[in-house]
Amino acid sequence: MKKLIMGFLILLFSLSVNAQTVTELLDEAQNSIKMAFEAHGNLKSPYEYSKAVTYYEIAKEETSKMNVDAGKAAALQSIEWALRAISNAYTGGEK
Amino acid sequence: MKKIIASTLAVFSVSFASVTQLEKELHKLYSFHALECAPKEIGKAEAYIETLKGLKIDEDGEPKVVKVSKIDSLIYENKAKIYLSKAEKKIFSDVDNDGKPCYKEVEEGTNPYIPDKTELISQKPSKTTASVEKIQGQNPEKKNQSKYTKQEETHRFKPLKTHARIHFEFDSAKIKKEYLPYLNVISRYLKTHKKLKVKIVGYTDNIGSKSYNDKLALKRAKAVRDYLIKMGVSPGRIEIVGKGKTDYLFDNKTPLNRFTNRRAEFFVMETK
Repeated sequence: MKKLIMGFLILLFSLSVNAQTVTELLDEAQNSIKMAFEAHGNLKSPYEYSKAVTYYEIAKEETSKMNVDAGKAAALQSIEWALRAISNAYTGGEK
Repeated sequence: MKKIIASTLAVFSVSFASVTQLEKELHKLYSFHALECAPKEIGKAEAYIETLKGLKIDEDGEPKVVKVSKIDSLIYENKAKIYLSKAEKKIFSDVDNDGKPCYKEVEEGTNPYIPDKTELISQKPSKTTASVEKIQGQNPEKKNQSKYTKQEETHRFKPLKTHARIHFEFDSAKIKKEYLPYLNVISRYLKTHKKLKVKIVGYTDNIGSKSYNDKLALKRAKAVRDYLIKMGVSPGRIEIVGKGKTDYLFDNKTPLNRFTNRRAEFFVMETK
């Protein structure tokens, strides 16, 4: 019985750690998109900005369906594209 | 059991085929300047297509490809198709109502969101051309005729001529990043108008010796020429001149004025 409870707790802990990481990444992605919007990335770099937003939507969708790995990967992509939108907005350069 | 395996393989092959089909469609749209005409739609479609192909993630230092579920892949595929069709519509639409679709305007180097007045002028018989015809009727000399047709040509390409100028940092012949999209437009314009050739003239500010500035001005013109060649313009159509410490646009009293004087100018000419 003790082993069962211990196993259940470990499972809960690992799930919570995993979910927190995805949540953190989603939070980070949202912040990056917000920063890109504030830097007028949606106007100056619409391709990168819309890609970041779409990846964020995908990340939310996948995380809600418990596909944590896909959620993480999509959130990371969202962060990357949002950062590109920010840098393009400030430098005005091409990809 | 066999039926299950066969149906699984069929679903997999269908989804794989649809992804490659979507990618083909995307590449086709890229050749029609999709990034300039419909950047938002292309960005969204690309994100969905890349997700369908599999998202990459580093798991404990090892790269891993993550696939989405079949239902999700169907949803994303549908969304990608929707955004691709929206992009296609935008590419072939005429936003500014000047009779030219967006992709055509990008190819010609004009702004697809502002009506192209010069093109309209060149199509309609304007006052200047009418007066030219009158003059030609009074003095039917060939020399005059060629002169006025040249004037007409210069009028047609006025926008490129008047605004074609880029600026440089102090003692540098490196093209600034913000001018690259502008140079891309010029190179596209030159590629679509094969009869035109371009003369690039480099200038400097008044700081430094004359010989050094002459060399620097030529370097600036060369840098622009090299970039245009890299973008696919043939070297035979580009002529470069380094003028150095001459023809200032402003006096050299302030840093901003000196920056304005450090430039490379484009003169578009018709080939004989």
